[in-house]
Amino acid sequence: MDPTDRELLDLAANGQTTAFTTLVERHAAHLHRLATMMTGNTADAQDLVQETFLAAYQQLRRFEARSSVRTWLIAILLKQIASHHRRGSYRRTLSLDSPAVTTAEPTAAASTSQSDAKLDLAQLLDQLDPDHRQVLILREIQGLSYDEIAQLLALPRGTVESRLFRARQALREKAQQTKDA
Amino acid sequence: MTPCPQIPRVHAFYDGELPAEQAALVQAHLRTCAICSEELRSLQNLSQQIRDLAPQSDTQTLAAIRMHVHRNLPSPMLRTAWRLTAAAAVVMALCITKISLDPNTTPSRATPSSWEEAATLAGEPQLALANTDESQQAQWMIDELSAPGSAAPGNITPANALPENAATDRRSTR
Repeated sequence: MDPTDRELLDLAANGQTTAFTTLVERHAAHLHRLATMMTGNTADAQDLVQETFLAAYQQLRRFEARSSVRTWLIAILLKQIASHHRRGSYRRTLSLDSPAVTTAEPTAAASTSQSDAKLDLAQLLDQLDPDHRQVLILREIQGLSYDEIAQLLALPRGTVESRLFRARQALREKAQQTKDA
Repeated sequence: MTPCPQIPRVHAFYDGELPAEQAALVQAHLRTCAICSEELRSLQNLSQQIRDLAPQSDTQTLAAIRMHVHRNLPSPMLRTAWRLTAAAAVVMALCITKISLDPNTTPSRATPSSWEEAATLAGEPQLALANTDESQQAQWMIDELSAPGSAAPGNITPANALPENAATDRRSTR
């Protein structure tokens, strides 16, 4: 049986770097996906994920098991993203045709209008209030629960619920406005 | 169309965040409320669109991340060195804190400085009294001169006590 994330973390904390490499293999994809959605740039996303893992390695002994390893890594990534935005090195150039990114659907099935719709939605998502965008992505892309999001963002669960509700409403309103225009 | 007040609960239901009992109530409501049924469908569509938007990272990028992290992980020996350095820093910080808080090594404001004590004991009241106001000094003199067998101000130790007539001499010189 494969070791759990927690077991790998313990092994890594005791100096087994291969255990940490396994953790990287397990979590790199979903972290990169999240970082790309949050920054809109795959190159930045790659840098941020790398920094996240290196920061996590230095904090191995500080992991308190109050959350899952996955949530802990996401928390570190969100800090890296926040710091990245503060530094002003924010390059939002999300391109669905980027070589580092392939969309979930096979491109053969994606017609021009579908691609346009995706780009429109990406732009609308980008126009959302950053707090709204953040909860929406954490919920829809990462599939995190209200409690997990609340823990990550240090917010009451009720705030997460209402923020998510407003984010969805705002996105749909914007989509409707675009359609009407 | 007037929005149904149950819509926020439909969102929580869709997210699987309601306890079983409440979820059953919302499910029953959905069978009778067209607005909430439409809201649920709209939520499903929106989620699907957002998920489709999310990129799948390609293997090349993931391999590059793995390689970069692996190359930049510090060796176990270096990590031990880090820990030792951190421990030494903590010990040093504790020592500095202890030294700065130790009353034996820190002069206290409440106790007189050594030069003040020396000046007083050497019988130089002007040095000891340099920082007191005149009314206070006068009160000391009155107290000491009026007390039987009193000592002159400044000569506070029995060894330096003045003879009794010294006090009389001072009074007569005023």
